[in-house]
Amino acid sequence: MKQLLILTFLFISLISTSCTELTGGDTGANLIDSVSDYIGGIDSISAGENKYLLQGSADNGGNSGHYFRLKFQLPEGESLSFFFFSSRSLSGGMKYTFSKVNGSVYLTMKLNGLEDRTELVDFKNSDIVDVAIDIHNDHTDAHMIVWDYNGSRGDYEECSFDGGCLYNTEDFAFDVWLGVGRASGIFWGIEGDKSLIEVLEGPLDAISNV
Amino acid sequence: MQYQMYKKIFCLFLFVATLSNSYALKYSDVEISAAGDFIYEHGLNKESSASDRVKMRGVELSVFAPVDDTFNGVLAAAAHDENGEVVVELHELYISSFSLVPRSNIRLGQFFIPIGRLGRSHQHDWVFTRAPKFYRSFFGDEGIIDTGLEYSYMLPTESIYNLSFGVTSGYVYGHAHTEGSKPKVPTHFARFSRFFELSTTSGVDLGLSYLGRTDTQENDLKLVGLDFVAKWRQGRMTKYLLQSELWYKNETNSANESSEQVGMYILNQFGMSVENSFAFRLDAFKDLSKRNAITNRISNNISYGVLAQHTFTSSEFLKIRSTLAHEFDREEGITTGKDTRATLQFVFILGSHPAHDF
Repeated sequence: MKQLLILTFLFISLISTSCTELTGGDTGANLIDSVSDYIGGIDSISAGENKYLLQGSADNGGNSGHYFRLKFQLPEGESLSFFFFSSRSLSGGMKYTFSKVNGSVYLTMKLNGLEDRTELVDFKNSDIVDVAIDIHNDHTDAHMIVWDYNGSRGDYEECSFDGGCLYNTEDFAFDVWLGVGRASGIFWGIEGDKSLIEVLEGPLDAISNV
Repeated sequence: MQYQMYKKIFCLFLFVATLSNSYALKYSDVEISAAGDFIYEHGLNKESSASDRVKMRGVELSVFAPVDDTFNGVLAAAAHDENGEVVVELHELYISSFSLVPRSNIRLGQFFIPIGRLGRSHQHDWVFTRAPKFYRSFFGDEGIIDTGLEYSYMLPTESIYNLSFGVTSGYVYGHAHTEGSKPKVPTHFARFSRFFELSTTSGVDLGLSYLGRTDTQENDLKLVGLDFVAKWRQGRMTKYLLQSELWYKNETNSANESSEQVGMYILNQFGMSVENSFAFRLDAFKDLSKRNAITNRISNNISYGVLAQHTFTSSEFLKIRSTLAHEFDREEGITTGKDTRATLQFVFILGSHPAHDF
C-alpha cells in the first residue's frame, strides 16, 4: 500500500515538474518564417504546381473529427479543389472539388476511389461559396457533412434531402460510400487559383458529434 | 423521437421477455438482467462539449444461460442515446465452453474484444464514468465490438498465468454506422496476464495486450498495452483499488507514413465504507507524430486529464457516482483546449448479473 502511494506520488511529481515533452512546451516547431504565404488567413507553402499545403494538422494521427470553413469566390467555368486528411504532397485523403457550370455550383467528393457529385443549390448564381464541413475520420467509414455556412446545421440522417444540410455521406452510405474506409493523412490544402480564397478555418473541433 | 425511443425499448423488452418465457428456456438456468446507465453532465467552461442534460447513456438487456452440458450462451442488446436518437445495437451474442478443452475457454460469436482492463468489462461496470481521452481515441467510447473466435488458456503452472488470443472479422473497428469492408488482415488480439494473490482478500492482476488489423486501404494498425489492477479488500469493502493502463498505438498507411500515440491513466480509489468510496484519476495522452504542416517539425503536444469522484454503492445493483473532471490540451507552449465538467451517473441492475473479473 505504502509503495503504491509512493509510486503515485512519483508519477504526479514527474508530470508536474518534468521536461518540455511532458508540459507541451514550446520547441519552435510552430514558428513560421516569412517565406510562407497567406491564403484565406492561414499560412501556406507550395506543395506542387498550383497546390498549397495549409497550416494545421489533424489530431490523433488523423483518427479524429474536424470542422473546416471554406469561403471563396467561384466564377463561371472555374473550379477549386480542397484536400483534407491528406499527405504533405496532397495526395490521398479526401478531395473536394467545387465547380461552376451555367450558374450552378457542383461539389465532387472523392475518397479512396469512391466519389459522389452533388449540386449545391444554395449557391446557384452566387459569386461566393461559403461552406462549413465536418469530417469524422475516426469512424470505420469516414463520415462527412457539408453545410451552407449561413444555413442550417443538421447532422441527422436524411438531412441531405430536407434542407438540414447540403450533403451527409450517411444518406448515401450504401449506394455510394459503402466500405469507403478512412483517409490516412493529417494535412489539408488547396489546388487552384488561391486568389479566389477569402476565408479558411480549420482543422477545428468538429461541430457535430455524430 | 420519444415515441420511436419507447417503441424500440418496448420491442427489445418484448424480445427478451419472449425468450425468457419460451418453453425450452423454462427448463434451463436462464439468467436475465437489465443494466441502466443514466448520466447528467454539465459543462463548467465555455469549451466543454458536455451535453448539459440528463441522458440515457445505455440500457443493456442480457440473457445468459447454459445451452446444453457443454456450451453457454450470452445475448446482450443495448440501446444508446446518440444525439437524442435512441440507437439499438447488439453488443454481444456468443456461445462459449469451458469444458471442450481442459483449462480453456472457447468463445465464438460477437463480443467486446477482451484486451486491457476496460476492454474486458462493459461500460456500466467501469470504475469511472468516462474513459480517458486516449482510450476514447484508440477504442471508441465503449471498446471494440467484433465477431470472431477467442481462445483462453490457463497455464498449468503453480502461479496463475492466463493467455487468451483470438481473431475477429475486422470489417469494422471502433465507431461505425456502416458494415465496413473486408480488411487485408482481420483484427487479431492477444492478452497474457498474471494474477498475484497477495492474501485471501487482496491481489494484483497484470496484463500485456496486443491488437492488430490492416484495413482495406492498407492502413496497418498496431496497439500494445499494459494493464494493472491491484485490490485490497476488507470484508465486503474494497479498501484500496489501483488501476492503470498504458497503451501505445502505431498506424502505418500504404505510403509507409506512420503515426504514433501513447496514452495512460492511473486511478486510485479509497474505500471509506462499504457504501462510499473516493477516487482520483490522472490521464496523459501524447501524439508522438503530430507535425506542423509548414515547418514539417514535430509539434510538441500533450493532453492531460484529472478527475475526482465519489461513488455511493447502495448495493451491488445500484451505484451513484459524482465526478468533477478536467481535461486540457497543450501544444507548443499554448493551451489549445479545455473541458471541465461535472457528471452525475446512476447505474442500476435489474435481475442477476454475471460475475465480474477480478
